[in-house]
Amino acid sequence: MATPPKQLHFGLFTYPGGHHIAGWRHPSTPSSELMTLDFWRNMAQLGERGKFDLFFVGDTLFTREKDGRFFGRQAFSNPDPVSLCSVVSAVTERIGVVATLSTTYHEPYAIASKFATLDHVSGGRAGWNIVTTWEDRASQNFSRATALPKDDRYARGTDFMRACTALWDSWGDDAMLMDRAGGRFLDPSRIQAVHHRSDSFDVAGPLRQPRPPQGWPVLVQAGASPPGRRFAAQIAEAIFTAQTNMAEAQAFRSSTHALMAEYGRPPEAVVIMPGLSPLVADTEAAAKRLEEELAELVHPEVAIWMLSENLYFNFYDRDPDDPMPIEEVRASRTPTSNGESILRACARGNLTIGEAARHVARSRAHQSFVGTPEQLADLMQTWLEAGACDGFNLLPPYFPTQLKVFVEEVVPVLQRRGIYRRDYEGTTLREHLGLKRPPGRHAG
Amino acid sequence: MHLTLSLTGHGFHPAGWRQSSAPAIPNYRAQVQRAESAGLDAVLLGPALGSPGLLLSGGADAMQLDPMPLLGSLVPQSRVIGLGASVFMSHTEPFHTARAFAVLDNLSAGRAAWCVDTRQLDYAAADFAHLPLPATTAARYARALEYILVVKQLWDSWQDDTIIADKASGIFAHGTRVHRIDHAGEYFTVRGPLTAIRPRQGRPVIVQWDMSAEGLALAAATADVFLASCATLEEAKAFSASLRAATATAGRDPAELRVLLNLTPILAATGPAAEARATDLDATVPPAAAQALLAEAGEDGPRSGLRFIGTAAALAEQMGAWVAAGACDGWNLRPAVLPDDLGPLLSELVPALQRAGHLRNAYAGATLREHLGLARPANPNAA
Ligand SMILES: Cc1cc2nc3c(=O)[nH]c(=O)nc-3n(C[C@H](O)[C@H](O)[C@H](O)COP(=O)(O)O)c2cc1C
Repeated sequence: MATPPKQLHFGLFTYPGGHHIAGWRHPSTPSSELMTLDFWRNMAQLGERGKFDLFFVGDTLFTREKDGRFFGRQAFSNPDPVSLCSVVSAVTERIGVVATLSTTYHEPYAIASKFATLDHVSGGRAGWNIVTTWEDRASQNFSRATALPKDDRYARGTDFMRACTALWDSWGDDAMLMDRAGGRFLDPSRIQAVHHRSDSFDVAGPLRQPRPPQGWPVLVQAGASPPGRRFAAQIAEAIFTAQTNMAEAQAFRSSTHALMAEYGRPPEAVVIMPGLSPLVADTEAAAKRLEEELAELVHPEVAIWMLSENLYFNFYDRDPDDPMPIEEVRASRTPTSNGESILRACARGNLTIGEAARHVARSRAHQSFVGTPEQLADLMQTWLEAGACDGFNLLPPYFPTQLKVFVEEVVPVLQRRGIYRRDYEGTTLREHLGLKRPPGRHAG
Repeated sequence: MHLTLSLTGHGFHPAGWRQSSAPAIPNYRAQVQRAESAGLDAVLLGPALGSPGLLLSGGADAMQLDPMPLLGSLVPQSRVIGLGASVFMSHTEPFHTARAFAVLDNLSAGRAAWCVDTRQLDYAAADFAHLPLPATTAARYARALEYILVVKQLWDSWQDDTIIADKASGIFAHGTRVHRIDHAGEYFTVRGPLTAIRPRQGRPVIVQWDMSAEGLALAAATADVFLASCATLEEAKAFSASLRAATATAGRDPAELRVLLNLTPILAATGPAAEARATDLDATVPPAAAQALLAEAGEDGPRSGLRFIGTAAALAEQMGAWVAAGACDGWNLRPAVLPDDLGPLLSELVPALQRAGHLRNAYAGATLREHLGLARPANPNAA
């Protein structure tokens, strides 16, 4: 029997209004309803119609306010991810719900309970995007002046996950008895305290919830910093990344597999999903026109804000017609790799501040695609077959229209090519992603 | 009068689960929908009933889903009824609490309530033993007060009319209508603003039930609803009077606070039949669970409050009389057996209360504050 072709997996990376900074201004975006149940229900149900593996909610723990100047969509954060995912789980039946949550500003017992509950109320569809939060501005909402140093963040995160997995395993799958006649609600011999004691935590356990339907929620990691990758190699079952070209994505995927081997984990224990922001129309020319339209909708001051955020440099009080102060920016703070590539583009094009801002507003951290459904299907199939990914985390530039276009125009093409499911085969997120259920310590 | 319903697993009685028809994880959605058809003000999702010792006795339902994601899952399953969830203060951050309730209040179109759990239980602390806890009672309540005030400031950090989403001008939000709180207190330092727009209710309803003197002072300063556990009419009258007096002393109008009495009704068609039910329930607490309950009697456990044994008609009369006597503004029902006791409570007791004119026949408003007759708080930042 011929091996069936490898299958794509899709995440729906949500963002109120859409991922393009001006997506909310598109005439079709219901921008005054971004905090309503209807908006999110519609989005999640569309994803489910498209047979997506998961609905994903990112997180920010500070408001991007700048002395009263913010007024663009950047003002707006995602709803609290666990809350939103629990709401969404009640209006969907199959799609997974993945919530971002920081190990730096929470406690393991409380979070293990939250995700166990999310897995129960969703019938085994919960996932957790584990982040450690690098922003100083976030720490200032939690009684700390600065973020933890990076190594400390990941040391705490690793320890945090040991505590959580022990807590999820504190109940055997068969601990609930409901033996009414015999007066045995549960079997105490199938429940154990965890006594997790470490540098960061002292947690007694057990949990108050039965073991989650999936054993553990699906553990997700995002980003590609070296300690982040090592963390992922040990525990992540899905990885959200942001490579913008295929060679880099191939290298990322194979080196991730190599790193996982160091921890005795096989390649099939992880699903790697680079981000992709697709702008799709019937013809290439129409798609390009849409791209231009969106670019025109970026308010100049929002573009200046994006430039300032990307370079950690205050451009608000400068004349947009002045040349980019490239050396001054470099001297004020060593730029990130993303910042450095912006500065190089400024030098190459001799850009003014205003031009640099427009440049940044057009480019995206994630790969963007502009074209027809067939062209997008080609790109996806090429990446999949070249071992550059196991699927994509999709970032529609405006919601819900571009999601609808993807579901109605692109998904059928992929299905015809035999590289994407026609329907869900399982009911849990682990089943969608082809991941094993952790046996737990009471097993056998 | 006002009526709320605590959904505590398989029931509030430690032997309730033995008579419950629910599966291991109860169907909360169906219960909320029934409470909504009966027109109740809110359902409240509490913490686990009892210690890990009780859980590990194996004989009682001391498990509990986390109330917050559980509340979230009930938002789209209901339309008007209020939804409350309790959060321990001892090991949580006000920023997270403020945000989760703001989001759930908006997604539910104004139906969220925050049930403030001030207890600092030894057994709960064992799951957070690495965290320092306030050493004295005074410090614990000073922290609780600061926590609540930070949450309220965060809810107010966005003015109501901040988001305009004006596509033509490209102005999404009025930046000048979003405010840092720059709180630097004894226990918390919080910059703000919140990462969520102002809740639909302005501030979600704050529910408390700490009966200690310190708890009473905290409620007087900050609560919208108080769930009181009193054994007699006289006790309830005295407690309500002292809480209202304390509210006035705290500079608030006592009419801004609703006092509900915790009540576990054990109903049957006749008085003797109800007595027999109660005896049967009490006699069927498994011995291991009974022992664990004795051991934790010292902890300020949530299993206190009034118990009524009799017919629905008699109970309706008593509930009306106590409200008329000024003992309370309404009741918080904690059924002994869930979901089974909802039958008589919602189809006999509630109609009896409606016939007697104690309870409205249908929802008049859309938000929980409206059900409770509480005003939407003004935002001090809007002045
Ligand atoms: C697709 C993707 C999604 C991410 N989502 C979040 C998020 O929701 N919240 C967050 O704090 N960080 C998020 N991150 C950032 C990473 O968790 C990580 O912080 C970042 O890559 C910087 O690396 P470092 O934390 O190891 O310094 C995301 C990264 C990627 C690539």
